[in-house]
Amino acid sequence: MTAARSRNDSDLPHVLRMAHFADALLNPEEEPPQGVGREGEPAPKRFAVYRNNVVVSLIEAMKQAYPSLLAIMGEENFTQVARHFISAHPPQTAMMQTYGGPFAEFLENYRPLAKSPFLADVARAERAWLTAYHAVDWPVLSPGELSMARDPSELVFHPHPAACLLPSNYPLFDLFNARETWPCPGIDLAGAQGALITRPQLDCMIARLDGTDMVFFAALFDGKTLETAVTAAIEADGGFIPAEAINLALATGAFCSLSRPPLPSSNPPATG
Amino acid sequence: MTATILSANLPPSAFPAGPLPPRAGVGLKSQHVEDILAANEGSSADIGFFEVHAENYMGAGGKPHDQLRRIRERYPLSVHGVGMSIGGAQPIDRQHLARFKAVVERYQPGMVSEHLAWSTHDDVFYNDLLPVPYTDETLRLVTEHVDEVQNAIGRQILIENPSTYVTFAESTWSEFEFMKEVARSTGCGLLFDVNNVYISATNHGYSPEAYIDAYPLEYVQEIHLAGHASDRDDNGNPLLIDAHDRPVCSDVWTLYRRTLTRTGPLPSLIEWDNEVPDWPVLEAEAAIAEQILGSNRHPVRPARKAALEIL
Repeated sequence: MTAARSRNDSDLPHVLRMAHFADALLNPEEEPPQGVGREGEPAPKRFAVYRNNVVVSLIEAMKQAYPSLLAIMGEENFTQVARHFISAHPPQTAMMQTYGGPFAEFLENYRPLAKSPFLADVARAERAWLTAYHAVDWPVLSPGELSMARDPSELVFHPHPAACLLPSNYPLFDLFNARETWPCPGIDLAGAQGALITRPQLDCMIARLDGTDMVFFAALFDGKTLETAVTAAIEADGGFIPAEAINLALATGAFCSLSRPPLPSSNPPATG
Repeated sequence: MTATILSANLPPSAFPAGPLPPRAGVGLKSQHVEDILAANEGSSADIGFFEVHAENYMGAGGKPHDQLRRIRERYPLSVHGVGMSIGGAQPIDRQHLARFKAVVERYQPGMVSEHLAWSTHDDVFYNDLLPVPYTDETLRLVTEHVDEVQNAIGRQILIENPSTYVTFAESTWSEFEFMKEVARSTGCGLLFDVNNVYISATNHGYSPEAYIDAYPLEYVQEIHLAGHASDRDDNGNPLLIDAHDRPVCSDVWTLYRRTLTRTGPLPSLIEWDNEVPDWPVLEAEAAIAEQILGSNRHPVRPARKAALEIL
């Protein structure tokens, strides 16, 4: 209750006090701010509780968001990389379920892991999984809607809001499933496996998509008609079976609705 | 028949209304929801209310909302924010406030609360409840921010007393006087965290009993209880950490009884956020609080009311 002050920091406006406090939270080399401690005396160990809370809680958030990478990299490596990521990309909202969004891009440019480019693909898949988990509740395309449609080959398929298609040059499906087993078994990095992440009801699912299936789904996700997608897949490999791929699309809930693209003849002329 | 027709006409977001009961509640964890609801079908998960962190329900849809809807259909709910940064120097984040408001409107909780703390500076969210110096300036900021939140959501909020590890040289207010002034000038209520009182009192070397006796308990509408970890500071003084990772300690139960003696029974929450045990452990912890509440069911308040009725 006294106004008498001897300390330099004591008349700081709150915004400066917070700036000093905040700077020291994420920079371990920085001295704890003056005038913060026990009875005004410095107490680094006390300040370290806040530092620890911040960093440990963010590492924990990264572990929860990226359990496959945690399994593949191991606790020690993952924690070290996560610390670097946290320094470069501290959270910008209180919605921790979105924290770590740019981890894939971070890993792509992270020199110590330049020889493991597959990690960024895993990060993308794990982010897609979490995004699907929180995505808006939305009905998936029913088999009836498709079977009732006239001229289905002319239809375009609208991706479900939770769905994400992930091509990869690495065995992404196996790498993603590293989260299911601990400790993580060795994964053969030869061979490419794409993945499709969806959430038909409340539970997310991942499907492996290889070769022609990936060509087919990529065309549909790109807004091409069913006929164009089938043609593209058959051109890639004559063994493509359209009925099986369409069944997979329905079973995974990759799409939510159908529509017809405007006929080319109905388009206005490009120039007058 | 009328009741059936009425309830059929209610929008799907309409849940049982009313305040939190003066009973024991538990902080809701996703992994417990099916146990709670399964027990509820046999009418045995006898919990007074559940509390959730608003931020965990700021996504669009999916399992979190499905779980909370099913819980809310059966139990009173308290929505507790951990990210509003009410003690910060900068204006409240409008986007965050809009999301907070959406959660409150969606679930129509019996109580809404936030912290006397800051968590955002510039554009960084630190994911922790950081301490506020108690000055005239911070009092003005906190008051403005509480007003803004209450105006935005159109209802009263409760503000929780913090657990702290440091104090500030510039503080000119005692914590309990600061809390009282915030409540008096904004019309907000207070959420009294007994574990936080014990932690801060131990960390800063004052008596938790004296703090409780001086606290403006007339504004308190909910109580928090939790476990904490023990450490030592730079000079070997005890340093308690607000870990929420174990049972409530016996000293905190004693302080809880002391509080209830003055307040009468209040909604009382068991918080257990780290090293979360199986549901029966939490249920047993709530049962202890329920028992203490039960022994305070004939307190000052009803007696006063009766006296007024006689007059």
